Amino acid sequence: MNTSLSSFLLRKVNIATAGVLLTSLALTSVVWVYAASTSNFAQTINAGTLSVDIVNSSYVSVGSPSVTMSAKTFSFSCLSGGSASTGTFGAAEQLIYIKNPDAADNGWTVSLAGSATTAVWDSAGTDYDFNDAGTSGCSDGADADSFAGQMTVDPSVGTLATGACASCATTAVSKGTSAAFVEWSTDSITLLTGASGSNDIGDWKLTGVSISQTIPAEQPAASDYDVNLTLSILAS
Amino acid sequence: MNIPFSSFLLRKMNIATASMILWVITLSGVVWVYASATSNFSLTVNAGTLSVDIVDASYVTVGSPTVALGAVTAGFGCQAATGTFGTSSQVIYVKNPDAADNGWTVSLAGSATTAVWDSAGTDIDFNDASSAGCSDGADADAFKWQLTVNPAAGTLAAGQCSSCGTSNITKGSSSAFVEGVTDSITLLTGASGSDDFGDWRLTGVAISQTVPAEQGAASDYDINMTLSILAS
Repeated sequence: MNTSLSSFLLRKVNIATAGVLLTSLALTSVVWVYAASTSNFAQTINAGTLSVDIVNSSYVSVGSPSVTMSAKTFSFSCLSGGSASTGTFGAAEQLIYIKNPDAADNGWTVSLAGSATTAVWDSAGTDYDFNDAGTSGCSDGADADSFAGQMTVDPSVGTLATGACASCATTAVSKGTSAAFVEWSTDSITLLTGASGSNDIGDWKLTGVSISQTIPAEQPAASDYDVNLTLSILAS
Repeated sequence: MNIPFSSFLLRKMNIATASMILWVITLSGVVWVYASATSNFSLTVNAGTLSVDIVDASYVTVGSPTVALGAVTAGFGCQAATGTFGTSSQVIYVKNPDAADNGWTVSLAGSATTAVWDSAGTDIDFNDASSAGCSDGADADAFKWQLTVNPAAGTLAAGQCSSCGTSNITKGSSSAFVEGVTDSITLLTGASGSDDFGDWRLTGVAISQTVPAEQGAASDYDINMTLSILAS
């Protein structure tokens, strides 16, 4: 049977039209989207505070951190070098803890210093010094006081590790070298340095920093010698 | 001469008819009164458009509505930032002018399922369910973060409609976006029993955003969230 082209197209149009109508009917039975409104949600994450602290293994600040140096017996000679009193700064429950919550992207430096350059190992009896370079601490040098004695700090023997930060590394964080306090010239000793390549967001813990204290000859026996040393951190 | 009565009447009638025809012809040159009738005035009140919008206290559309979440401090643990969607000056406003008699649903969604909190630095996600947003899950991107919306904490009230109530309108429950699973969250549902003509205001929807550990500090994180309303 011959069918004209127009008739053929008409039938096809009808099929298409029916299809469109069917689809429209199906859609109208589902949902209609009538309107929409867009709101912009904004969020700020502030940088935290660059800090150094003494914390326990749960990263809780230790209220009164302490370092107990090895006891020495009264001596008529200076106790220095291998005979000096020793101790460890940074222990499992008294960690030296550095936190950089995006606060110092160019790096930072952690240092240890006396509570004052004129601080001494205080006692009810006779004090002695922590930063007198005279004869390696065995004699009173040209500083402000009349006491002998010198403390040496060696961070290089310590153990550095990342803290609570899961994605951080110790890359570009370096331990300081051994140094002794000298009033007016070495009033602080660098324990750690974070270079600009260190994690911008990171935390680290340092333990096992070696401490050695020269005790002058004939220093009276006493159990109450103490001195306060202060950690500080500076952004680069 | 005797004239029959009938002929008399006929002649009289012809005079009357002729007079009538004459009067009609005369009056037709002046005005014709065809009829007096009652006119039917008709008026159609179309249904308006079902809509949801952010408006101010005067029901004027807010041009660029915003939600500012509380700032948090960069840290090493996963934390949450909170905010409120719908305030006294940016009201979530639903209007049903007889457009959806069978009810409606208002939902909130990201501008796309692949949307992120955009920043000049590192972007972050709003719909990653892994570890409740604290780690990157198996979605399309490599970012963490998850947004939780709790309409149940909000306050629902009738709008300008003096005769409307909030009957048969329910707030949605707390839910978190999960890409491919929960791409939109229901804020309000108007059942078929709700007012066919009505408008409602919703404020105080609680927003909580998981902030992953070690996320960089920045003040430019933002994301667009879209309200929509569907007729049932």
